[in-house]
Amino acid sequence: MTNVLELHNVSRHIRGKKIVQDLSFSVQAGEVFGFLGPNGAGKTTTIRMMGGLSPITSGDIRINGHSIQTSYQHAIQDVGAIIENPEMYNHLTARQNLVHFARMNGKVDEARIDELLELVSLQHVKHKRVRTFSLGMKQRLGIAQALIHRPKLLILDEPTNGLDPEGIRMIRDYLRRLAKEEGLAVIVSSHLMSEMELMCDRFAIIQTGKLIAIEDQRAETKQDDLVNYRMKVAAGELEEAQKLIGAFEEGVTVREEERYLFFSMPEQKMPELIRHLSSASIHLYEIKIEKQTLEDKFLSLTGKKEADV
Amino acid sequence: MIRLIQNEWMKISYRVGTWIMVGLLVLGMVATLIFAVKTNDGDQASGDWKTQLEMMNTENKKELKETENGFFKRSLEKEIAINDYRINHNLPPEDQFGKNAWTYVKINADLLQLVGVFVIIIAATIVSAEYKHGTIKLLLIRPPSRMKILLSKYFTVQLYSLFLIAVLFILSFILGAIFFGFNHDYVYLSYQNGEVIEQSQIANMVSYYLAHCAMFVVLGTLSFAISTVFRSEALSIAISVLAYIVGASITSILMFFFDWAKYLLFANDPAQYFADTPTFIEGMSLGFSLIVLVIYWAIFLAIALIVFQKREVKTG
Repeated sequence: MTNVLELHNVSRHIRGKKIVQDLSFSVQAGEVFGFLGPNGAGKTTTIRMMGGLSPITSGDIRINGHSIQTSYQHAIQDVGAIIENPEMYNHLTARQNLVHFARMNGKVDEARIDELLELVSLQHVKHKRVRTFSLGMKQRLGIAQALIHRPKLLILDEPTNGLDPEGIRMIRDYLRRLAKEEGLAVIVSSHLMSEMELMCDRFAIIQTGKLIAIEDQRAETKQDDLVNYRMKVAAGELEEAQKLIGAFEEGVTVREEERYLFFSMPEQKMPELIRHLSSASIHLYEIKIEKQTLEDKFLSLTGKKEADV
Repeated sequence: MIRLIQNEWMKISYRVGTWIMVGLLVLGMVATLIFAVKTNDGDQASGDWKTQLEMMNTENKKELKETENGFFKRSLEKEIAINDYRINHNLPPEDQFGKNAWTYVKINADLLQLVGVFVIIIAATIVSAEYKHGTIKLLLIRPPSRMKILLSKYFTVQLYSLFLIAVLFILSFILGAIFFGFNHDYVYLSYQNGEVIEQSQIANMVSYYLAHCAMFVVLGTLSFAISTVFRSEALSIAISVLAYIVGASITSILMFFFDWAKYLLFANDPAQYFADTPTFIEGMSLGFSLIVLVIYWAIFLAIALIVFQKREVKTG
């Protein structure tokens, strides 16, 4: 895997205030990388620095090996971005907007423009002025604009902001497809955890300008890792089931809450446990893996940090 | 760079305002045309124009002896020299003829003021509109340098002003030719450094137009610089248009009292060298004024470029 984007100890101070502190991480080709943090954590500032819009106080950002500070033109060639809202020229048509941005990167490739309009499903309105577009359509045109020069890194700042569920789903599908099929590195900032969970392979969490965790969603659970389960049994058998599970595996605590049983168990032991309960004539209605959501993780991570301060 | 200028041209040419400006200009020409046609009373030739000019000159010479005012003195000297030249070479003055295509073109030079205001408005909006709509970010995260982006905008403004001037000049000439025809007998005389020079009408008009444009090229640049620095359309339009309208009269008051006023921007309007009256301060020449204007122009453009390079891009 090659690193398309690398941040090395990036800091940004404004009048003595530390907006971003010592941030380091990298994004690889073919992955969707989430960049999470509460409002005001320094996400947008970091993204601005990636695009060369804000100066970097110390550290460096490299895109495909080129420093954004010392070889800006090489670095920026591989970047496509939407920063904050997808602002387009409202008085021009969708197609004219794409021609405009294509010209800035060199020769205009008509076929590429049509291909992108097709990709973001705007082919039918390409001669309409952007003024008449919905937010979702503008967001899609924004993505087309960012991809016009075949960049290797796609930077999207809050791409699902203000979109309806269908729009969000569409964006998600595009991004996953672009990463998988074209090997793009995609970095997406957001404060919507549940959204990011569905979209990203890995993500970084920042708070008050500092990196507090990098999580990999693709990491597989190992055989003897404990998994959290929730189980529903017949109402009269709750107590008996609780006892049986406790006796089945040493040191397991079974908690009862609103007629459900909660416990942690290595995955490999589960078939055996189910057989055991069935042979004891327990009526099993439901067993479900209780996954810790990104939101839970995020809240526990950021909450903990805040408690430290 | 050419692609960037194409882009800027595309952006302004799809704005309604751009074409409203052209429309207003044409409307202004229609108005002056109607006025010119109504007041045109045809051939005015009276045989005794020579005696009239001689009478004017004896009057002028008498006044010349009495006056102490340098400005008045010089305007009398000019009039006497031109009148003498006309009498000696048998060249009737302008009022002996009806209007022709060139007089109409000259009347419409007043509409250049309108062009000036339009150019200031375009110059003020071409940068700040990108900030207002947030598109500046998408513009600056592309390979072209900020310097190139800003210069392409500046060239586009100048291209637009050239376009307006060309529309005014060419359309005036065509309308003038249709309604008034040509007049080959009239010879234009200009007075430079104590000498009277014969000039062809087209050369005279082209230089007359160019002289009247110089001021708003500089003011357009001022407006461009203000809007780049402050990112505010309203501020830059207000300051530049105000300067354009009242700057000249304030400067002329100052020039009565102070000699240094000749270094002020508005004291150096090249149009004054093509007017019928001489300049306020003695010793000012077209060359001097052009140098002063170029210095102002370069300062305004340099400020815009330097600020734009350094600026951290924020919107809203």
